[in-house]
Formats: sequence, C-alpha cells, structure tokens
Amino acid sequence: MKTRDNASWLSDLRTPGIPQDEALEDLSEIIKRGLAGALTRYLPPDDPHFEWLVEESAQDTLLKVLDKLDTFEGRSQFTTWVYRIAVRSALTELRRKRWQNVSLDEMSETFEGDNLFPSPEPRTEDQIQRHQMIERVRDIIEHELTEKQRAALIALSGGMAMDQVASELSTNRNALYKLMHDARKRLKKRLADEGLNVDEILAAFMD
Amino acid sequence: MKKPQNIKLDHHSLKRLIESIKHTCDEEPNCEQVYELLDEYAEQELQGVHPQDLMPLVHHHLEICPDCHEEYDMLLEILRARKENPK
Repeated sequence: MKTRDNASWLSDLRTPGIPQDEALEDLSEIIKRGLAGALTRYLPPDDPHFEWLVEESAQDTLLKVLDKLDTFEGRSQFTTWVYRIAVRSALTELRRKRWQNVSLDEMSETFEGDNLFPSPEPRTEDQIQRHQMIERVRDIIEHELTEKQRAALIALSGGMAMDQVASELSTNRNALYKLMHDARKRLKKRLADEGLNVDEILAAFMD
Repeated sequence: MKKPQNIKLDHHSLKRLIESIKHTCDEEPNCEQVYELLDEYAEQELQGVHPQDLMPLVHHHLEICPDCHEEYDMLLEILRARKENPK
C-alpha cells in the first residue's frame, strides 16, 4: 500500500484512472480494518451481519468521501477525517437496525418508571426531606416539559438513538438536540425561579 | 403519538437530567457542528493536547449527547489501534 500524506490522498482521489482506483482500494482497506476492530464491541465477528456491515459502511464512506472531498480542510489527518465519516455510517446502520421495530409509543408503554426512589428501608428524617425535594423537582420537570419533550426524554432515557427518536418525531437530529436544549434551559431557569439549587438537588440523590 | 400519560421519570433518568441541566449553557453546538470537529478533537486527544480546554463546547456536547459520545469513542478507538499498528 502506498504511503500518502493529505496532499497526495487528495491528488490521487481527484485523478481519474489508476491513481484514483488505487487510492480508493487503499482507502477501502484502511476503513475496513478500522471498522472491523471497532465493531467487535457491537457484534461478534462471526455474526452474519458483521461482514456485511463492514463492507456496506466502507462503500458508503467511500461515496461520501468522494462527494465531500472539497470540504476537507486539513485540520486533521485525511484518514482521521475519513474514519469520522465511516464511524457515523456504521453506527447509523447499527442504530437503525437496533430500533427499527420500536416506536416512541412503545417506549412510553414499556417505560415502567420504577425505581422512583431506590431505597426500600425505613427512611430517616433526612431521607424523607431528600425524597420530598426529588419529588418536587420531578413534578416541576414533568409540568414544564411539552408532550414532545417528555416523549423524547423518555425514549432517550431508554437508550433510543437520537436519529430514531428524531425520525419518530418527524424531525432531524439537530432539531431534536435543540428541542432538548431548549427544555434544559427552561428547566434550569424554572428551578432557579423556584429557589432550588441544582447541586443541592443532586446531593439529594445520594443514598 | 399517544400522550405519555402520567409516566414518571425514574430515579436514574431524573438524576441524569438534573446533571445535564446543571451543565446547560445558553449556546450549545448541535450534533452536526460537533461532528464536523470530531476528527480534529480526537487527534488532539491522542496527542495529549487536552481538547476539552481548546474546544470546551465540543467537550460539553460530548458530555451531554450519548450518540455523539459513542461516535467519538469509536473514532478514538480506531485511531489508537492504528497508532499501535500502523501497517
């Protein structure tokens, strides 16, 4: 495999014919090697989906790399920039497959809301006061959030991926982040208006 | 979308939410903005340059957004493996 710096990667990929073909082949090999190592955390290598995922993600990445080549600014190694694209591609597919048969409604229905207060033992005065603070905060939060924000929060708390929650809400990941950011800002202000100190609230969670 | 009714946030989720509220800033980069900087951020981490100091808003976002954090973790893992075995 040819050793390339950023400039030679860009040059080869922009030169149709042998230089581009060889650069794409080398890049594909680099991507697959990187992904194969990292994806073992999610799938065993002998899983029938594993090899497909590595190949599919590599192909998807190469297409995106060629499409976005002019956006590479050289703030990192070219291969790092490519790996970033490959990681997004692979994880997007993993998340899509993981959540494809789960809806927000199902997340809400199966969300048991148990463990509202973990300790079953008889409570001291201090524990009772802490419990009351937590319940007061819980009520404030649940009244302050919109239906959409509450559904998103429950789904995200249940581990559902941002892309999937966004899709369920007919929006996109960035808009979902903004939705939740707005919720956090509003809650931060509301808690302050109620005279509730966040550090004291967090201390109340200590058993 | 059905109304979630009176579903209460569990203890763990509530605590995580409070923690994220504590660290909420007026202006925060969204996922796409952070994604565009992830390669640079990861390389700085690998070089021991403390990217959390140079790009605090990216660091902050990664603390709050589990999906972006997962992508960053995987990118870092790949870069470390490549550094150890640069073949």
